[in-house]
This record gives sequence, C-alpha cells and structure tokens, in this order.
Amino acid sequence: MKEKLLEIRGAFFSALEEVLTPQEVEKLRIEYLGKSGALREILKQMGSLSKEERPRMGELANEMRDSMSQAIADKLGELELRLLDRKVEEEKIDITLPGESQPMGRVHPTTKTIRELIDVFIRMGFVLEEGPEVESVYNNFDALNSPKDHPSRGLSDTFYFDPSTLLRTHTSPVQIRTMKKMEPPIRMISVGRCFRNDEIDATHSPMFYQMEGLVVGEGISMADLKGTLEEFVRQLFGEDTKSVFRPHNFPFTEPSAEVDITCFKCHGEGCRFCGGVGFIEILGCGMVHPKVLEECGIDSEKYTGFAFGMGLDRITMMRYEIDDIRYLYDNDKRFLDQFRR
Amino acid sequence: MKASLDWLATRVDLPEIDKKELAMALTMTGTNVEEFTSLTDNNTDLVIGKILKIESHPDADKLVVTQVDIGTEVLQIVTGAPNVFEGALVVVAGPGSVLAGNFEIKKSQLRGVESSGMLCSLDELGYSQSVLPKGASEGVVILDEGEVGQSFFKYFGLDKGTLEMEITYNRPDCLSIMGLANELSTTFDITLKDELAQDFSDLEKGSLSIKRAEGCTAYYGLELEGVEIKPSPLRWQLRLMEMGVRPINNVVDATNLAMLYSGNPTHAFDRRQVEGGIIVDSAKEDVVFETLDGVERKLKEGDLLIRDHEKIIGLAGIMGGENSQILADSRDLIVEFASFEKSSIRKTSSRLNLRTEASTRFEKEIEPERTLLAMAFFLDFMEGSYKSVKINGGHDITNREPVVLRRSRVETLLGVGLEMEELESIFTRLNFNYEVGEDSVKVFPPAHRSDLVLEADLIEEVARVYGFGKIPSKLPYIPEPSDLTLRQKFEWTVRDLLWGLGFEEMLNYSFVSPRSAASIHRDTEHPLRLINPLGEEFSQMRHSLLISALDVIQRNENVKNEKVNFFEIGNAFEMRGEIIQSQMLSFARYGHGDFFSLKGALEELFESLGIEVTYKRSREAVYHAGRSADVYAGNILLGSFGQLSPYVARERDSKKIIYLGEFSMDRLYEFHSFRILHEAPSRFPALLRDLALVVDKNLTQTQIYDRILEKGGGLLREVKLFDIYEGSELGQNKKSLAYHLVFQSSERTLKDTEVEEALDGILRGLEELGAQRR
Repeated sequence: MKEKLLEIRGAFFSALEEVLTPQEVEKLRIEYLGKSGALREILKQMGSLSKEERPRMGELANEMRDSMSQAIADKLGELELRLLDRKVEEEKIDITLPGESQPMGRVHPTTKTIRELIDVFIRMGFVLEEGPEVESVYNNFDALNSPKDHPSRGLSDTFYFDPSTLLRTHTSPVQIRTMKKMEPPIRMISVGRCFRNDEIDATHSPMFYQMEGLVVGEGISMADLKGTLEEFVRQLFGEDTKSVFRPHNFPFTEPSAEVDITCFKCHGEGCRFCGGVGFIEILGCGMVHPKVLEECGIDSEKYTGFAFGMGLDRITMMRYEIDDIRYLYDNDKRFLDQFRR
Repeated sequence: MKASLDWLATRVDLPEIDKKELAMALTMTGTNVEEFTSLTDNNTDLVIGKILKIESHPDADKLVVTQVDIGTEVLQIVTGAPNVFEGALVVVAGPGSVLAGNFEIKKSQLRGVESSGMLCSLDELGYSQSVLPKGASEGVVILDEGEVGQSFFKYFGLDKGTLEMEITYNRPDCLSIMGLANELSTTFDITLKDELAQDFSDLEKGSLSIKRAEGCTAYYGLELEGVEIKPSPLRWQLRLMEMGVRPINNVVDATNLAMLYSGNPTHAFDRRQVEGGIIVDSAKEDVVFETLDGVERKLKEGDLLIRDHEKIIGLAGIMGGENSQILADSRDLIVEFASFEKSSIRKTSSRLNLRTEASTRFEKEIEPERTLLAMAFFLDFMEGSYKSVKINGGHDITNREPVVLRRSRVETLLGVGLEMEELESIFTRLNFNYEVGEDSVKVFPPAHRSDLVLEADLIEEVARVYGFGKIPSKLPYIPEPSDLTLRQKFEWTVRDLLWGLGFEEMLNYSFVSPRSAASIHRDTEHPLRLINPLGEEFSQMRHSLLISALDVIQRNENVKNEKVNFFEIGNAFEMRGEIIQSQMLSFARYGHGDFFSLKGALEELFESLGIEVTYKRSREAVYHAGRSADVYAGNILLGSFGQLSPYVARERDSKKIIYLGEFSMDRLYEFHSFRILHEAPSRFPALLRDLALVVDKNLTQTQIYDRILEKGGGLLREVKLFDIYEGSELGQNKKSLAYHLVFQSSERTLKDTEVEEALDGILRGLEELGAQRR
C-alpha cells in the first residue's frame, strides 16, 4: 500500500507540473483529493492493513494530503501572479497620448501687470485709491492746473459727455479726490482705465490703463521722488535696471521729469526693441505744482509732494514683447490663452 | 521742431563734441532730441566742380560729355542733365562716392564714352520729396556760389546736421532758432553772439492805416516796392530744406526763414490787392473765405481776420487769402509782422481743423516784441532785393513781473542745498537778468519766457541746469505698513476663484456701439453717449458688461475659436439723475457644457465666497426665458445668468449656443463671508435610503427638495438628487425624481426603525405635493 500511495503522490506532482490554469488545478484537486479522489479510494483499503501498519499508513496519507493541498495552494498563487503579469502586459497604454484637459483660467496680461505694480507700491507703504472713469472737467483738468487752452482739453484729444463731464484722460483726478478728502501725509496710488481720442493703431488705443502715484507731506523733495521711482524700477524690472530722469513739462508738476530705463532686452546697448537708443521711456513725474496743492486746500508752503504716472499697456507690452496694443483689447482666446498665472 | 545745427552755429559757438553727446546734453537740460540726422549720414563727401567744357556725345543725342575741374584734377563726366553750361559750378560725385540709397558711383562707359563720376541733382542727395524745390529733379543743381575743389556740404553749411526735437508746451520760444540758440547757450554754458539789431528808427514811416482790435498785440506792415521775385540764394534754399520747408521764391522764403529764425510767423500780401489800409478785427458774422490753399473756409462770428477796407485778405495767424497772395509778377508788397492772442488762434484753427506752421506757433504765447526780430531778419535777408521800404504799425509792450527765488525753497523741493554762487551761475547760464538779495534771487524773466511766473518755475530752471542726475536719491520714511482694503482684496479673490474655475479674463472697452447696446434692454433714463466719439461703435458707455461680452463672443466665433469661457470685472454706467458707475462681473461662454455647467461653476463661486443664494426664473430679455435664472441672496438680486435668448442670437447672427451672466460686485461683496465654523464629522455609521418619486412635471426640484429637508427631521443629514426621468409609462405630465437620503447622528448608531419613521414623515409631506413613491 505504501507503494501505491507513493505512486499516487508521484503522479499528482508530475500532473501538477503540467497544469496551466486554475480550472485544471481544481480538476486535479478533485481527481486526487476529492470525495471520490484517488487518495480516498486508497484509504478505503486501510481496513485490510495490519494493526501495526494502519497508523503508519494513516500518518503517511495525512502527510501526503497536506503536502498536496499546499502544493495546490502554491500553484494557484503562482498562476494568479502569472495572470496579473499578463494583465499588466495587456493593459499597457500609450502614455504619450494627451492628458484629459482640466483647464485653469487665465488672467489678462494687463491685470498681471497691475497686480505686480500694486504689490510693489503697497510694500512701499502706499494705499490704493479709486476714482470714476466718468469725471468732471474740474477734476481732470482745472484742478490739475491745466491751461484753459491746453491742446489736451480739445475735442480731438478728450472724450466729452457735455462741457463739464468727460472720460478721464489720466488717473490724476484721483489725486485731486484724495487730496480733497485727506490731510497730509498722503501716500497713494491709483490704477485704472483712461481714455483719449486716438485713432486705433498698433500703438494707440482710445482706452488704456494708467497707474498714478502721489506722496504729499512735510519735506518731501525731488530726492524722495528719485529714490521711490528708482526702487520701483528695480523691483519691477530687476536690480541692474537703471533709471534716467530727464526734464519734461506737465501742467500739474514743477519741476517735471520723464523717466527712461535701460532697455530690459539689450540692457542699454541698443536694439530693435528700444529703437537703438538703449533706453525706454516708462513714466512721467514731478513735484506737485503749488497751484494744485492750493486748489485742494493744502498749504503749499508747509507741504510739498511728488506725483508720477505711467501707462500700463506699454509696460505690459514691453514685458511680453507684444508689438500691437490691439491684442490687449481684442480678447481673442488664442491670445489670452498664453497668459498662464 | 527741426533745426539746422549750422544755422544755430551762427548764434553760438558749438562745443567740439560728438553728435550723441550733444544730443544727450540737450535732452538732459529739457530739450529732448528725438533724432539727429545729417546729409553726410547717407552721402560721402561731394566736391564743388566747375564745368570747363561741354561736347556732344558721339552716340547719344540726350547725353553730353563734360570736362569738370574739381580742383585736384579734371574729370570727364557724361551727363544727361539739360541745364548744364560751360562755366557752371556743380556738385560732383567722383568715382568711389556713395549717394543716398547706397548708390555707389563707379568709373564707367556711357555709350562708349568714359565717365568718371556724376553731376548731382538735389533729388539724389536723399532729401524728402516734400522739401525739394520745383524742378529739382529735372536737372543737376547749378550752384550760385562756391569754390572749386571745396566740400559741397561744408561750403554750404550742411555738414553739422539737423536736430529733431520735442518742444514741450511751456517752451514755445524754442520753436525758433532764437530760442534753441538760447538753450544751447545754457546747456553748454557758452555766450550768445550778438542778436540782429532791432532798431527801425531809420526806416521811412509809411501812410498805411493799420487798425488793431483786441486780440492783436502787434501789427507791422512793411511796404516794399520794386521787389524782384526770384529764387532765393541756394545757401538759403538748402537751409530751408534742412528745416523741413520747401523753397518757393525769395519773398515766401524770406517770410518762412524769418518765422523759423524768430518763431514769429509772418505773411506777405500783394500790394495791388490791398485796398486802403489794414484792419485786424473779429468777424461780425459767419462768412465764407478762400484761403491761399484754394479751400473755401466757413468762418464764424468772432474769428480774428485781416481785412483791407473792402474785403477779408487773411485769416489772422493761420493762413493768408487766395485773393492777396504773392504771384510771380508781384512787385510791391505789404509784409505782415503781427502777433495775436493765442486763444483766438487756437479756437479758429481747431474749429477749421486747419493747422499751419503759423497757427501752431500763434496758439502758444508769443510776446509782441518778437515781431521786431522777425522784421529784422526779413529786412536783412531781403537787403538789396527791393527799391524802397516803409514801416507802419506798432506793438504792445510785454510786462513780465520779477519772480523771487528763495535759496531755502530750492533745498526743500530738490532735496539738495545750493550755494548762492551756484544759483547765480545757473541764472547767468540761462541768460536771465537777476538781482541778488539776502539768501534769495530776484529774477527778471526775458520777454520770450512767458512760462516763468512762480518760484516753482524758477526751481525747475535751476533743477534742469543743475542736472536731475546730480539730485540725490532717498526713500521717504514709511510711517506705517499698508494694505489693500477688504473690498479691494475681494476683487482679487473673485478673480483668483474664477481663474481656478477655468475662466479666462477679458478686458473690454468701456464704450460700445448703440446697436450692440440695444441687445441688452435695461431700465435707464437715457443712454450715456459721448459727444465726440472715435466712431459710432465707441459712442455709448456700456450699461452692461454683457454688451462687450457678446461682441467678444462674436469676434471669437468669427476666428473659429471652438470654445471660450470668459469673465470680466469692470464698470457699467447708468444715468439715474446722475451718472452711476458700478463694478460688475460678467461671464460668457460657448462650446462648454450647458446651463447647469455654468450654474455649477457659479455655485462653486458662491460657496467659496460664503454667499447663500436662491434661484428664480429670470425675466431679463437677453436670456432664454426658459433657461435663465435670477440669483438672490435673501431678497436682494445679485445678478442673473442663463442661455442667450435665441431672439438676440438671431439678431446677432450667432450660430453658437451662448451662456452668459452678470453680477454686481458690490452686492457679492455685501453678502460674502470668509468666516468658516467647522463641524466635526460623525463617528457613527450613516444609513442610506433611496427615494424615487413620481411628481407633476410643473413641480420644481427645489419644491420637492425643500419639502424633504423640511420633513426629514434632525437625523436627515444630506439629500442628493441622482436621477431625473420622464417617460410615458409615468403618466401624462409626470416626471420621476430620485434622491439619495443620508441619515446620521453624531451621538449614536441609528436604528432602522428611526429611519423608517423619518422616511414616512417625508413621504406624507411629499404626498401633499401630489408626489407618489415609485
């Protein structure tokens, strides 16, 4: 009987070697270990064994059943892993296919510029003041010491609703509003839409954005103006950008200056972008005209101040090398899509 | 303003520095040099030659062979110019010369005859067509003076170049050689040479009657007799061309040169056409007048005119009349040297849209005394070209008040202390008269400096001469930290949230076309329109951001952008007794989901802003009546959104299904809350029940939802719609809605019976709405 048992074991293990699927393993289990399997059939003959042999054979048969059961479990485990191997192989994808789109939005390039500029000036202690786009001639011109016959007041330069109401041509009226409502010291910026009666072309738009700044206090001098704007230029355009203050004329400041900065592209050597001069004009500024201070009820002997203003479209265009201002207001998705956060 | 450096050099000895340095120095003292050009930029040096001999060309009728002495040698040059003659002085480009347009001259054979160079016409030197004298391209230039072998550019004073400068509004005096020479003298601290004498006491007084009305501050009429009209000396023609003016004849050129030199425009009348005397006064009525450019101008009452005793002969300070202009046969002239008040000239010139060299100067202030300088230049130029001259008229006297500058004030405003000696030297450089006081200077502004009225004006003068670059830099003391206001931050938060939700920001003009505006009906007093818009399409202030949004959608549709998803934060304008400007938020999208995907985005926005909203059907005509909603916080309308009305889409010829919306930023701000109070998640299991209902089609989801919540009791934690179905088996006008209900307690594990009880309550409540469990 022992021989028979060993024979069964031998047959089982060699059959198990050949098996390829879990179904075949199950078939083998039934064939050998099932209720009418080979092992049971043999054990039915246990009665014919001697008393001495019976426990030994029983032990052997139990051992055999355990090892065969274990072998079946191992085989099944191995086959499952192999199945997973195949599955992994089959599930291979082309990882170069495009991802499913989950688009973030876009912020308008001008807004990006505005945000950065506001941040720079807030850090320097300025507050943001606001004013309306539809303004009075008084706030836009008269209070800013603009001569009655200054060409900028003309219908060919400024949009009017009636003789005393217009679309502001600069953000400067916000200075007037602020000086009228606040006592010095004043340290404010203002950002917003401005309008001029310019035909639309690559460099002109009837609407554009400006930022304006004003500091009024005791002992504020042109040295403060220079220091503030040089710091601004460094923060926005980089440490190595230089500013040059050049005399100019504005009705609302005296002395007045325009500021050129070294071209951010060629760093002063001269390139196509700066027209070969190495410098780019970015803002106008000056010491607040005493008449403007007085008009706002500020004692111009006691207080002095400086103001500056700049075109944000121009700065935006410089930063992204946009050569046509019309792109900024066309709102063509193909343009806007490029301005990631 | 263009200015010839050679001409300026007749007034000041220019420093020996290169062009770039000179331009920079002028710019840094306030005269911004925009361009610095010279004929020598594009041409190699050309020499003056003399034609010794002319022979006909053996093989060409239209060519001649010339022998030209250029000092160092005699060149044989073949030319086709019809105006050459033996003995003529000409401009010679020898072999190796390069002319404007990179045209290189080589030794060559012209129809078998050797030619060593070219005789030049003015046309070939690169002048702009607009300044070339008549006939300049029909032959070579024949010089009326010159020295054989000399450089043409040097001999005629063309080698230093021309400055193109930006003249600021406060410095109209710099629209002249006189004023610019002054600036050069200041910039480089060099003394001005003596000005032309302006003493006319030797001139015979004429008997021409001249009446000056208010608005005319000077009027001199020079009566010239026996003038021969001819071309000006070439030297002066070239000077005019450098200044950007076309030479015409000696008289016209003299008036132009006098203006360019002094800054005071002048005009010459044909004596034959002037009846009686000259009267300067305002038009008493509207009248039509033909100016010398042949255009009939409609003049209005009040326009300042020049008349004789019969008729109008000129539009004061702007342009002369066709009826009295100089002709080729004019012999006797009246030449006007006048000055007018700027406002009158500006008014007329801008109304007629007629801007001339004269009007651009007169519309800024010119002191009446300047007429004397113009007259001095004119007489100097014309000397010997007339038989007799008589002077008539007079001028007002300019009285400039002295201005006191305190030394301490300079330090306050510039942030740098200057010594009295430094201030004195600056005012000397400026050629001002001044008196030194105690720690102050009293300055007497020259007549041509109308801009010097206040102490601040003098400080500007000090600053620019001292040098902006030398003023120190410092940062003003920052007293306290600063931040945006909560309202200002709110705007940026909304922008950030929309960015996260995938919206792209657009910026649109604040004005729109009335036609586009009509798409969005709003209850407003009247449209807010500009009286002088750039065009119809920019003429009305937008009362809704949706107007711009629809225009943008159209543009994007036109360029075949498949889908867009835009927002804008900007102002809308309304007339309600006064002009009201309100900040709005708009949305516009197409090719992107449906009503509910926009609603989903908005829900996410409102949730993030902490605003609890309710929705009601919207009546705004811009939307699809069945697919749009008004959004409320409590009973306050925040805004609306929905599908674009098919009627509007049809009007606008839009093929896409467009979703859009508009909200008030102020109201969103009013109802927003960033305050969050957390609630601990329950540690006990939740029991889930699905509830499928059949209800009347007209019943809204919200009615059912609210009823479930109302009747659900404290254990009902969440209600979520998961299915909507309509089908004939449900019965007519019925629909089915299915909800997931979540029951949970934060204190204990729930029993089934508790949930069943709650569910029964809900069902009873729903039955009152006519709902059946399915």
